[in-house]
Amino acid sequence: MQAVPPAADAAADSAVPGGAGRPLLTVERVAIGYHQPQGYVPAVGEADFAVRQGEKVILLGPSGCGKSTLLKAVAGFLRPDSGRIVFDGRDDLEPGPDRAVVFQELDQLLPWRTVVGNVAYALRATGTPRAAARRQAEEQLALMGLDHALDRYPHQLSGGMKQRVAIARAFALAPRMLLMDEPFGALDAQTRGRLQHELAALARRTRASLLFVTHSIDEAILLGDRVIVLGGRPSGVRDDVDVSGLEQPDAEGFAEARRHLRGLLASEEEGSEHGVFD
Amino acid sequence: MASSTSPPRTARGSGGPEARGPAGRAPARRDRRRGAGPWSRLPTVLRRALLFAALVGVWQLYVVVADVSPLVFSSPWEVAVALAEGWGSGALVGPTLTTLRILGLGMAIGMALALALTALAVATKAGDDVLSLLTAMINPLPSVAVLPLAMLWFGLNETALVFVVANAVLWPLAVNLGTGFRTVPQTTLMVGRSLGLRGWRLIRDVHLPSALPATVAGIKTGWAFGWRTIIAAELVFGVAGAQGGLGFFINNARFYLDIPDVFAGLVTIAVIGIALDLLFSVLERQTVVRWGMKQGATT
Repeated sequence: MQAVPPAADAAADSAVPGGAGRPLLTVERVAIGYHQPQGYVPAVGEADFAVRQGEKVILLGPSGCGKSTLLKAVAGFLRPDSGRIVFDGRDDLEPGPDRAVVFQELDQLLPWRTVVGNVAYALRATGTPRAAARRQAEEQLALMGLDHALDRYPHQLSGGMKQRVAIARAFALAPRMLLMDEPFGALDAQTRGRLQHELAALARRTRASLLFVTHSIDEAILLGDRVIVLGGRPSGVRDDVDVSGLEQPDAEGFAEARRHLRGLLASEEEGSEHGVFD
Repeated sequence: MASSTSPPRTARGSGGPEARGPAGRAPARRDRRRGAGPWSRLPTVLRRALLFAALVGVWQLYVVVADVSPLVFSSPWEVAVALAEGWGSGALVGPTLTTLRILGLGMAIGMALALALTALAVATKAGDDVLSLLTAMINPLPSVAVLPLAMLWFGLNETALVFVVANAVLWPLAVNLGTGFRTVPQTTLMVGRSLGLRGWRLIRDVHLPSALPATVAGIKTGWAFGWRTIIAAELVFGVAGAQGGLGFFINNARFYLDIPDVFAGLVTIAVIGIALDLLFSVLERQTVVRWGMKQGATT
């Protein structure tokens, strides 16, 4: 268990599958806030980190620490007020399929398309020919055990299945980086646990990087190679913890990592004005 | 500025009382409801068929008992004969097709303009302001009221009618489309943008289907407006070009005191109204209801 300082390049020492050369994503001294009627509300004070090709990185922090804001900025939906976000050598980020996004909201599937239609449409929208898109969509869905639901409409699916389809859509796009904003946040505990393990298995197989936002410590350890802890008001990177190889709760070091992260989060929540109850 | 999401006139069903058959249905239904029990267990189709038969019976009875002048009122049998003859000889076919053609053309133009205006309103703030202002000003105006102007601009021809219908469809549809576009869920929009969709493709593949429930509601309102407007306009107009429409047919029949034909024209208008309304309901069931974007179907 090693806790490294919040410097971006410090994690470059740890061995990460597929990681070589310069980072795929660097977040440099990024500050983002919202302009509201009451005035400017800072969400992210100063965030600094980097993600390399193939690396699975978790943004962990209490509610309101700006982790979703940061993810939306990487996705290209928001622009930093200061600092830079560089992805694949570009810092003028627009939303695009090279950073496929899975949201927390259960209405992220297009309700007028079937399960297979949703995945195939995403592929067609990004340039795959119709027949190939359909075939690839079916393959990806079969991989996730959804082949029995291909022709159902989203409103006929449970919450867990909706999120599975959304994840299948993101993976089918074969992005450079997967962005996930608490995709299991709206699910019940059992479904959540099952989907976490499914995603962990998928993530191990993909060469894409993962940037995953959560406030669940176990989810973070299970899915991540590294956990970046955000905290403070306005927030910044508090710690950058290596959790690679800890996919199972009985793995050596899991309990220690959990204790360490819990300590960090607890101190954050004490410091914040609103208590956060998970 | 009044935000008129709800149109000033109701537009459900085949139209107001003026577009219905000659006999009111509501009182008879209320009589039957008192008996609840076995009546309510009958299938809907049978209940309606029985009611219809009863109404026709009352109608026939009234004509026989009251001995009304055939110059002002017709019996159901005479109306049925007039309908059969009108459709057999083609005397009703021509006017019906004329009216439907004008309606179709006017609606197509109105819908295209509504889409263009709404797309503009989504794209720019100024377009949004223009649309709100125009709909607030023009929507409350009964669409037939622009007929004198249309006649002045286009002359006594079909173009004037098409213009009036297009105008009748445009505003309620633009209001609904605008609401639909503005209420596209934020997540859905972000999904579209993250797939790299921009501009027209985003509007076509995300905004339009997402706004379909509101759009269908708008088209339903719009066509009902257009339908009434066109009949009224034809009544005022008389003949337009080579052929008159259904409104002209009715007025013409009245002129020649052919009262069964007047009723036959009215029945035709009502039946087309019901058929089109049914068509839109089926369309709704096949799309927005099937996709879970709207609960339950009307009719």
